[in-house]
Amino acid sequence: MSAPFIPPPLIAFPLIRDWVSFASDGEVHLLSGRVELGQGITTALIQIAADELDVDMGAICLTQGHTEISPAEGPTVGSLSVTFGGQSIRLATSAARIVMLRHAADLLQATPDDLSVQDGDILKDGQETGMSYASLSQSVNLAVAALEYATPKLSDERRVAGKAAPRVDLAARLGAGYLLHDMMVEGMWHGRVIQPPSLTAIATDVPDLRDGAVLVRDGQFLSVVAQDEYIALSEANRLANVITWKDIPVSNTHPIEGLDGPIVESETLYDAENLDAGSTEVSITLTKPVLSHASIGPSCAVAQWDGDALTVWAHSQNVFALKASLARVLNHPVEKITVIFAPGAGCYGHNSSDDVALDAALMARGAGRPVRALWQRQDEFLHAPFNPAMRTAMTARLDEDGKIVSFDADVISPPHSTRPAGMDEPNLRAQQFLFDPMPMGPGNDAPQPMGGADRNAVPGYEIAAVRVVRNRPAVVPYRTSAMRGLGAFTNVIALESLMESCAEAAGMDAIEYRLAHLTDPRAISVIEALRDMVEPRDMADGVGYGFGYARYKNSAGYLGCIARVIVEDEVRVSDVWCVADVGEAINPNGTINQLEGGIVQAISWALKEEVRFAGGQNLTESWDDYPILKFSEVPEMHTRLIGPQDEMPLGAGEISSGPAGAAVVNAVRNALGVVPDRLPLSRHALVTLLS
Amino acid sequence: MSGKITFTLNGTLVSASAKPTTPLLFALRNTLDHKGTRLGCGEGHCGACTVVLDGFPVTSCNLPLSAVEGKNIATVEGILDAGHPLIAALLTHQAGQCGYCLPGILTRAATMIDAGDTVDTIRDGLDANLCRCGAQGRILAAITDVVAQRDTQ
Ligand code: FES
Ligand code: FES
Repeated sequence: MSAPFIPPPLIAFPLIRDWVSFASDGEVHLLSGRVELGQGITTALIQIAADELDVDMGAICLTQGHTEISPAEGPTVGSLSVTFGGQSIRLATSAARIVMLRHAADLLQATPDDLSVQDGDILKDGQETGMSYASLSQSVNLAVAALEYATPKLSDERRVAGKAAPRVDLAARLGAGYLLHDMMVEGMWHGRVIQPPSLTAIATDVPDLRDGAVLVRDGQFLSVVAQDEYIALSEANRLANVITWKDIPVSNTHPIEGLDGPIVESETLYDAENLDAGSTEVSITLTKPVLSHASIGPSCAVAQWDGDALTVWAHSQNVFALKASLARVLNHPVEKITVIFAPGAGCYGHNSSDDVALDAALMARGAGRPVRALWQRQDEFLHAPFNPAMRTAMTARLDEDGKIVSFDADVISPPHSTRPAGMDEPNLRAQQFLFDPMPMGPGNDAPQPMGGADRNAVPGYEIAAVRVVRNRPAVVPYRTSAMRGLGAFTNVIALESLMESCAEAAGMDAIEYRLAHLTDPRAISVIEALRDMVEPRDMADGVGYGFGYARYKNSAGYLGCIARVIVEDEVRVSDVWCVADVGEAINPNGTINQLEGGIVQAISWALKEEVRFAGGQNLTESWDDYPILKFSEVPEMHTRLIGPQDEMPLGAGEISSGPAGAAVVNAVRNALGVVPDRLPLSRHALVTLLS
Repeated sequence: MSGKITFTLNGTLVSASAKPTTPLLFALRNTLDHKGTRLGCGEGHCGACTVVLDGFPVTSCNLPLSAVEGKNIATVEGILDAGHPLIAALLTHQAGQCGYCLPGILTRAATMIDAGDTVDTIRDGLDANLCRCGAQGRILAAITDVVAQRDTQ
């Protein structure tokens, strides 16, 4: 076992009852600030609690992301939900069980050691006592510090956590009624927003609306609200076509040209004293375009004003920050606002889910009735925040034996974090357009070792001298955001390309070369297991194999991938082999689902995706302009988990993107014999690369 | 102008009053309380809104209500009620993450399975359905199982 780890949320919310309580009908009420984004966290949290409490998973009812009820754990990001939120629940439910058993022992004049729990019933020496969590629910005080009692089960005592469990929410997702998008509130109308084409554009000649639709306007925030959803949509589109906007300045700078332009801030994050010159120098540069979150469902929110009390249902990653941000923008007392999470479409980072919540609140206020606001597909592609364009340059210097003696990385990227941050920086799109406009905050990147743009720019390999510099371009003609892995996708691909080049320079096998620069036994085990999975290789024409490895954030899960590609007119990935050590996997089936989902998405980013701009003007309006990987293009997937179950859970959602991207890029290099320096590896890019 | 359009929905005769240009999707979701069919793009590009029109999978976001007068429409609700074997297979394979895409995929794939299509043609047919979470592999595994079951019967 590693040293005891106290998750930060449990420090902020120390009492058992902050996390769990018992109803007299036998239901266990579990509370979490983490929210279900499609990643399976609901199931994993219930598994953890069921195990510690010895109750059936079906007896547990989880409330997540409710600003008035849930522990304000902050955002559901960074593959930290199980590591922080799950461990908090493990400790709190373990403590709940112990407090309950001590109380029962007093009543039964027994010792807690004689007692056990089965499906919520308390047994003494294996016999029923007539007592249960339900019967004690009113008499036991759970307003006590969880850490004083918590003694979670050891890994070999767990019956539920660590075993594949079917997702508790999957069946409901096949039909109507589960998603926020399906929610109805008495008297609710539908709303669509008309997005101003630029920050300073002013709408003139706004015509009257037809068919009973209502215009809700505040400054340049324009929206159409109607009882009939199609009328709201068609009137919004009619308006968008006839409104004349004046003063629409558009930057001439393309997002990628912005990376070549002036730098406003340059921060040295790691600075080795002496970057040994070595005897050979190897360099690589990789440029990645702007990417869209591109959820299948457009962002949705429902808002209802009851007097001066506002309730908003949102599929936000952080209902707590959203509540404070809404209070600031609406200039409304924060205690009068409730934000309740309700599930939406898959979320891969900071998308428009918070923006639409403000839209809904404004529409509901203006229309004087509850409103369901929904962004349109083109709103998502044109106006949601994006994963920013970035460029990473890396250099390694090798000694006579081929060992890397010094390394430096230069990352050029706007900051990836522009999340709504409450009172100081609400960062909700419509705030810029209101009669009293509020500029958006500049955004920031978390410091190392997390990092933002620079995430995983620090190599996980043993290198004596490392320097990493992060540069922020002056011109960024679009809104940036944090998307699955932030800079790690680009940085891991760049680093793994560099390692490939270094291995070539050293005349060594590429995988052996990595192993020679690693000492962490868990990293070595992952890579060795992966290598053994993919032998022998077929060497047909146009076929290439590539390897990619990273330990996400140099502190989370270890993951290696090998990709097999077939390069003809286009690149097709036929197979991906993946080995991961995520420590304890609460729901191994769910973990593999997450890892493989991340791999498919990374292949899509690497081969297909780019938000297209002309100068600073975004031209991407529909799926036609932004193709993603299709059914006929997904590879065969072969995934193994090898993590020790008695080690801390390290998170899974974001850890596969970088290594999978790297495996694909290295496989293309292997097939073509040239080093890709720009994504996506589209047909056009291949032609450029080969000429 | 609102008109009344009558058609068969999962075997039951229904009528909906709406502007004739209203896409079938909105009539299903808001007028007929069949919210299983989802809006993804509204432009025929993503397949989230797939329904079955006289036996053929079509997107309902760009199909005007007036076009279904007198026709047979099946939606995911009908497929769920009938207990199509693909439902159990999707759950067995834990095929999905957010599931936003799943009603459309279930509708198209179940229809193609029942029409005798092979796994290969179903896979190509599903290129009309996008899944951003990357669950395609598991979805195809579920389909493969059901097609194999079908073919041994
Ligand atoms: S919503 Fe109909 S195809 Fe996308
Ligand atoms: S499971 Fe989320 S889009 Fe398919």
